[in-house]
Amino acid sequence: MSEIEDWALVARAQGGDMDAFHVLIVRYQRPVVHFCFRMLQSEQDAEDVAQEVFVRVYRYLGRLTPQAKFSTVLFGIARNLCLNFIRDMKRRGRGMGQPLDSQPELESSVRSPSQEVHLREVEACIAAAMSELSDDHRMVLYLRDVEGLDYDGIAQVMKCRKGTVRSRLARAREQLRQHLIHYGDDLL
Amino acid sequence: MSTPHVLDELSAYIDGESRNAPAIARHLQSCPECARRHVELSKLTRHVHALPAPEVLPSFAARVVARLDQADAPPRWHDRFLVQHALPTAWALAAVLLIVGTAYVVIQEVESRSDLPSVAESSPAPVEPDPEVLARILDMGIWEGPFGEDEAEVAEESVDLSVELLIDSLAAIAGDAETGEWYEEEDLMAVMEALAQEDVQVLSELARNHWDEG
Repeated sequence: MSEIEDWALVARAQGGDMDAFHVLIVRYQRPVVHFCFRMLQSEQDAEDVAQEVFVRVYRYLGRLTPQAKFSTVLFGIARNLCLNFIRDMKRRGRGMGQPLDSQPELESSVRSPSQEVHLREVEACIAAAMSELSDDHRMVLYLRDVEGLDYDGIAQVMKCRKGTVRSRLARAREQLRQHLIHYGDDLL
Repeated sequence: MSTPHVLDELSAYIDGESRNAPAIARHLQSCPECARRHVELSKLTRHVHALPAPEVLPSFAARVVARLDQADAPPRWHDRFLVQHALPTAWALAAVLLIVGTAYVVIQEVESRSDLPSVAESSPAPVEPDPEVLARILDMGIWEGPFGEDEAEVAEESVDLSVELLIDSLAAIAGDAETGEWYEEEDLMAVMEALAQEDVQVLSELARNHWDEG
């Protein structure tokens, strides 16, 4: 999708066009919910926070200027809200979700039963390993490997330098690799 | 002759963000250990990419819109002007007011204590924050809340939404300081201490407290 198109929709929404804002929600709801889910490890919490992301965007519509990718703005807000949520949960003594129990169902496919079992095993291990990473490492992995943001974009979202993105990604992947080796050599 | 391993650079290489890509590619052809790690990391990124996403209910957008009905109308052009011009100016003014105001209050406080020498007699004035405040400062890590973890870097990004929140908070603090309804003496002492040490973390913490209380 075109960033120009995104910002054109934002401009229309700034003028009061709710249909344009609705298009933006539909366009980005899945990646935002997925991002929140990876950070919060709970589908319900992820959806609540993701809704708040779009509410915040709407509230700040008049302040948005097309100086970055719209997705960068979205993930930046999602990052802040997720970190706030995690902090609040820690203050209240509530643990985060249980990743292995709350993994979304896989879409059915033409994979054989044995392939399906192996894939589920790998995904469960990856999800479990990711849940053991720090918030920053989990976030940087998601933004790079799932959303495909480049290092500059990730740096904007995470409010850090590009070199920090590089080192965090390297460390996160190494920790993940170590976890998977621990779970089973055949996973890699 | 073997070349040094490139294990630490493989992550960026896989992402197409390495500055030494040609050299790494050559090395991978002759080094089994780095080549094996390259394969592992490549598989790893594919696994992460393939992680299933939770299903988003069709009613998601409608529920967001329903929440918007309770939200304020979107700000228009004058808010953009506020962010691009007025707020940066207000931020600079707030910072000056904060420094001058806290310095004035603390100096007045120090001079009013009969058991302490005046600032004129002894420079620099001793600043001894309340132990509880001091403990709080020492216990304070890098702030990783809504304003990011590197305040100095974030502050340079004047259009960033997080900075806007920070500006709003600090401007509000400065505004309260003007009316004499700011923080307790201990907090003012802590601010002075932080200013002397150029410690932006304390200012961030105060902004956060203000934000939380607001």
